[in-house]
Amino acid sequence: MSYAYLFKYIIIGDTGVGKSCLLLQFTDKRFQPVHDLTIGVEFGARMITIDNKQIKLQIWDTAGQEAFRSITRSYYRGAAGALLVYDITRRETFNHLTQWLEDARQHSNSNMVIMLIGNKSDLDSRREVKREEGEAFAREHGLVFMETSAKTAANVEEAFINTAREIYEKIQEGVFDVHNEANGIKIGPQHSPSGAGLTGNQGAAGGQGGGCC
Amino acid sequence: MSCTEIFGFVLSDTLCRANRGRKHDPVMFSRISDALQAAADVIAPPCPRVEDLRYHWTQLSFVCQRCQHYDGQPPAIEETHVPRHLSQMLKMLVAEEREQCIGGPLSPCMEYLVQEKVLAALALHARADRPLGIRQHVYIFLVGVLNHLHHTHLHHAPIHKPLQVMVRISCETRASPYEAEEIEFLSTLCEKIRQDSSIILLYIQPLALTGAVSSGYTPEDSLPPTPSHINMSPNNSDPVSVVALEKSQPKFPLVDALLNLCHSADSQISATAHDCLVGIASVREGQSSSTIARYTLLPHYLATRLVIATDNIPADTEPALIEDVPSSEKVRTEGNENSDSDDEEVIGEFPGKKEIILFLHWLTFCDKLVGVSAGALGSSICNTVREVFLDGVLRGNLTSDDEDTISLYIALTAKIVTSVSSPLLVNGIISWLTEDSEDVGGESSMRHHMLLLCQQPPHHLQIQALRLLQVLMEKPGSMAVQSLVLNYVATRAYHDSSAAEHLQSSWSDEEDERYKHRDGETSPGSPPISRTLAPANINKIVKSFLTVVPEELRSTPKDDFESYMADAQHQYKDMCRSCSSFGWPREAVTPECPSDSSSTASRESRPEAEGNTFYEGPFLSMLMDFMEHLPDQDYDINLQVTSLVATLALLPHPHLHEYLLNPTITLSGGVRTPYTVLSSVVSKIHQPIIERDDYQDHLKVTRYQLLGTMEEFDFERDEDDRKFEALIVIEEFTKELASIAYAKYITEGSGW
Repeated sequence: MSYAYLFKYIIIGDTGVGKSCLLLQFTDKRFQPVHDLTIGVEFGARMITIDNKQIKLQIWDTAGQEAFRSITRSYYRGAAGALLVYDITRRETFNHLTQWLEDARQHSNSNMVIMLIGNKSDLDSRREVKREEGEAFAREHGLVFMETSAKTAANVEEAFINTAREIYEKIQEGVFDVHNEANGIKIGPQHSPSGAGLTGNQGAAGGQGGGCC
Repeated sequence: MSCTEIFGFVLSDTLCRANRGRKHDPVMFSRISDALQAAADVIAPPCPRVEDLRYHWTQLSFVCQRCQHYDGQPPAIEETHVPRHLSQMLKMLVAEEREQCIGGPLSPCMEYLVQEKVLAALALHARADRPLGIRQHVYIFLVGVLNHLHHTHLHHAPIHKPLQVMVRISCETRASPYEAEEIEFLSTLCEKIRQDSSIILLYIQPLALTGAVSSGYTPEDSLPPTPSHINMSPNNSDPVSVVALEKSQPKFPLVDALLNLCHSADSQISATAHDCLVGIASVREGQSSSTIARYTLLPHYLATRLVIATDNIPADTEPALIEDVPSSEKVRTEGNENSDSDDEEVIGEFPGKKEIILFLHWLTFCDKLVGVSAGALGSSICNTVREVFLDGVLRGNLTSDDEDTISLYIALTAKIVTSVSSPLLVNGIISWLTEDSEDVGGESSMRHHMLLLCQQPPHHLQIQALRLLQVLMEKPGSMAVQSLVLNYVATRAYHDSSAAEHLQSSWSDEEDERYKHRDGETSPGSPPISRTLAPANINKIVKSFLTVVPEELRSTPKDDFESYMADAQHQYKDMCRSCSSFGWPREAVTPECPSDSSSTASRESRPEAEGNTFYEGPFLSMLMDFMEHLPDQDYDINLQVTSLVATLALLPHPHLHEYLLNPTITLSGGVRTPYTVLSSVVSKIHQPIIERDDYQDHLKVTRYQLLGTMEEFDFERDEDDRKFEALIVIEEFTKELASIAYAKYITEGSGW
């Protein structure tokens, strides 16, 4: 249960691109071909390890439908990482990326790490968006890019973990203020004892003794 | 802080924790000073709240699990610790919520609640109501959750889905034993929606939201939207059957549940449910209002309420008393009778009063809902009310064969018109009464029927129908004036413009006519003075009216024109205020080409207007007929007719003004105006009257009888009696028309 850091993520993108399936694959390691439309937000959590440190990911999976946009927006704030997902078999989901990105940049804190994800890479035969296009978009907007498949689990782990790694590195560099929960990062319980004198280099604040019963 | 709280909790909750292996001695704690708390933290760190939450939840689940598999009578909730566990869980959540930063990561208790699907499991227990009575406690728990959690938590599917399940449960049974808890839960939810209207989207079924299933996600959703409240699955624990059940559920269960509770026998519950509906209807978010309109029975409910309330009005209700029944929202506060309810004293009790008040209560509620509703819902309610109530009950009674029924319902219709105020409903009702609809299915339009009632005996129905028209004309913002009157005069076909060019009879007429065509020559700030409403030849106009009755036929030498003036000026100012938003033109000008007149002339009047023959429409035509027959009709009908014409004359519409109040314009052939009709009536009765030797005395006596006393005069009348009466009516009415024309001149000239 104990962790060194807690990162808050959100998953955004058009309806039907596979946001909920990515989350389910990452948290439960399974794939559900028919999934109810997400209404409001869903939630998932998982522990990962980076640099021998336990990091807890709290992931908000948002509704892609336009009708819920106002609800989705309230979740940008206070997220450290965002997975912006499109469907490589549906061109329009790629075309809407600019809007999503604008929305995200406008409502989130400026340090939020955004990972661009082209999902459904298993359906290569029906591909409408070339990998190169995704790469180009990511380069242009300073995002990290990956193609994933929630069905085969290809790159799913990597997508979530690489995002966490970027956030972690930003913490090491002192870019994130880890004491402000509105940044979507929280120091684990054992890192903030009541007499918290060690505020110096937050990242270095040792989480080695993670073994608590 | 948190430490102390937890210690406090430990003290209060020792019994509960006794079996948990953590040994805290309450006696010891009571002695320990604050200084020792830090030490205690290190030695035995206080167990995190989430552990407490987990403990209570596990215990509760265990009890419920046991009840599921209980043979025979399951234990009642009071015999278990479930209520206590629930209240402890709520305590954890509330305490943690107080420390939580909004928008940050989920706090441990909330995470537990969300991840362990605690609420979903609770909703399942509540649905099964096992242990018996748990449903009530779940409602109470959820009210606490709703009241204390920040509204953004309600976005979480693991939270709003179980809440939605609970909403549905309250759809399923009418008059459930838990009505009080249900309404508290629903009204708390509505309060949250009021705080954050986007939450309402979570309570609309996805199909209703998206309109159709665009991609292949949930094909089951394409089932026809049949709201069914009865298909309770026997084994609720089976997830498949629950899913199947959900698919066939109504699209907006929240509204259905509230409608359900509207029927509660407990008036307080029903009143709260109605208030909640008003709140929900006023939410302007996405397609919420159109979903209510399309998928719920709200519009139908309102119309049905009106129908039932109408059916309950006893047939022997005195129509004349309906007008004075107060149509405020007093019904609800009927219990506490305040001394200041004077109107009650004035009208007193009469058979049917209670039912009328109840009917007006529902009408007012309907009016309120239409008023607050966003577009689609408001018009949907109006359409349903028209279909079910107006075309159903009201039409049926107004066209009944029974005179008393007609009389009662004319009075009720007039009361309805005066009581409603939301523009949509006002227009809906008035257009139902006045529009020139094509005859549908052999049924004539209500307009036709109403005008027929005015013209045919029995006498008392004629009077009532004329009064109803008066009410329609006086309703602010009324469409009745437009559809019954203005549509017919807007073309100005009553005016012979070609003849007028040759026959400008005086300098001032010509000047006025030129003035009207000059656009944009306005002094900034004040509106231009209308040459139509304030014509330069006003003296001539006033004189024309005042000399309709020649001097030798006047019943009084007194010139009481002045006394009419004060009233007219006052009324005209009021009228201008209520008509200011209509965008009526200021000047009566003949449209250059027929298509130009489309601004005010509706299509329905076009056929008649074509070929430049003037048709005043059935209503004005009827009024002219009535005026032509003043010497043949009863005095009270004549009064009602002249009062209607005076009301129309007060309107600040240039064409109507010109038509009714300007005897100096050149008329097209065959056009009747009040001036021409009244003049011809006077000339017709002039001879027979003047032939009588005693005509001057007779005139004075008649005047005294009509205006002087309230005494009943005997009905031994001959032909001439009516003539004398008509003459006095005309004498006074022409003074009134003259005063209105002059009041308009003064008011327009001073820029009111």
